Amino acid sequence: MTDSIACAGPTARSSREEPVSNRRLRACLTVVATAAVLTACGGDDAARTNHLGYSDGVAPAEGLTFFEGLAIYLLAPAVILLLIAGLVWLPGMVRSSRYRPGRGWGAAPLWFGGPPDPAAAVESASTGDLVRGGASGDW
Amino acid sequence: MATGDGLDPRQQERIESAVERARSQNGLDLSVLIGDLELDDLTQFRPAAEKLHAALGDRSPSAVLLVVAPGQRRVEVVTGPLVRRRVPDRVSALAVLAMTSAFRGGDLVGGIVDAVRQIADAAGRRTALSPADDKRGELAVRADGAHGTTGVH
Repeated sequence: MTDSIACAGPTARSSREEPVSNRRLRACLTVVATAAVLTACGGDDAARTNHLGYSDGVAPAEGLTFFEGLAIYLLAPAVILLLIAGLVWLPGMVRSSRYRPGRGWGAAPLWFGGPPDPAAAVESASTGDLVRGGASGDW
Repeated sequence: MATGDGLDPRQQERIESAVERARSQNGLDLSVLIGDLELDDLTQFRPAAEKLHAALGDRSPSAVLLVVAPGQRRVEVVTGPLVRRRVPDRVSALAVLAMTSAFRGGDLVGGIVDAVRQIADAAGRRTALSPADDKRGELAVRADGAHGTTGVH
């Protein structure tokens, strides 16, 4: 049916140099050849022999096993989560000694800019009658 | 009672340099003692701090001493009579305020360094003092392993 329509086409543009039957034959051959090529390229049968690859959705693949699914959907996010948590916590843990009020203080007293022998100096110190100033506070 | 870790070398370095700067740039004899005092009663804290100030010997009349007891959560600024004009009690009180608010937030070293800087700035500039003989004196540790006494008994 397509052939008959295609073949009828060229009659509209008739030319005097060539007989009408020849032109009609050539047109019909062109249409048949085109249809053959198109049929070879498309269609269900052609899909299986297509060397360019599978069409969308027809690639045969094995499903995930239970453990693969577990690894991809649970283990991997958990690892990423732990990694980020580690990056957040690490600087705080490296900062070795941080004072926390109420936790006490066990370190030996340190005197910056104090007397050469603090312990002996404290032992022998007497307040005398100097009037000292200053301020006190607690927290 | 859980024990604090003490100060790491970098923190000690910061306090040391703040104290040294007060000496060299402001000519202010300032020292900082960090540690709990052995006291039966915290009301004895001020007298104990004054005794520590007296332990500075000849330096005492013109010295400023900061006593910070992180475990007892007390801080004391003691000023000698000759330095009180340079470091009035009002300045000491401001420094104490700066320290307590920093300590409350857990910033021990930052509070001390800021307070030292505040006091030194208020004291103005004088000829530099020679560097302290002993930059960082640790009080003797007794044979039984307890820490040395720093307070009045």
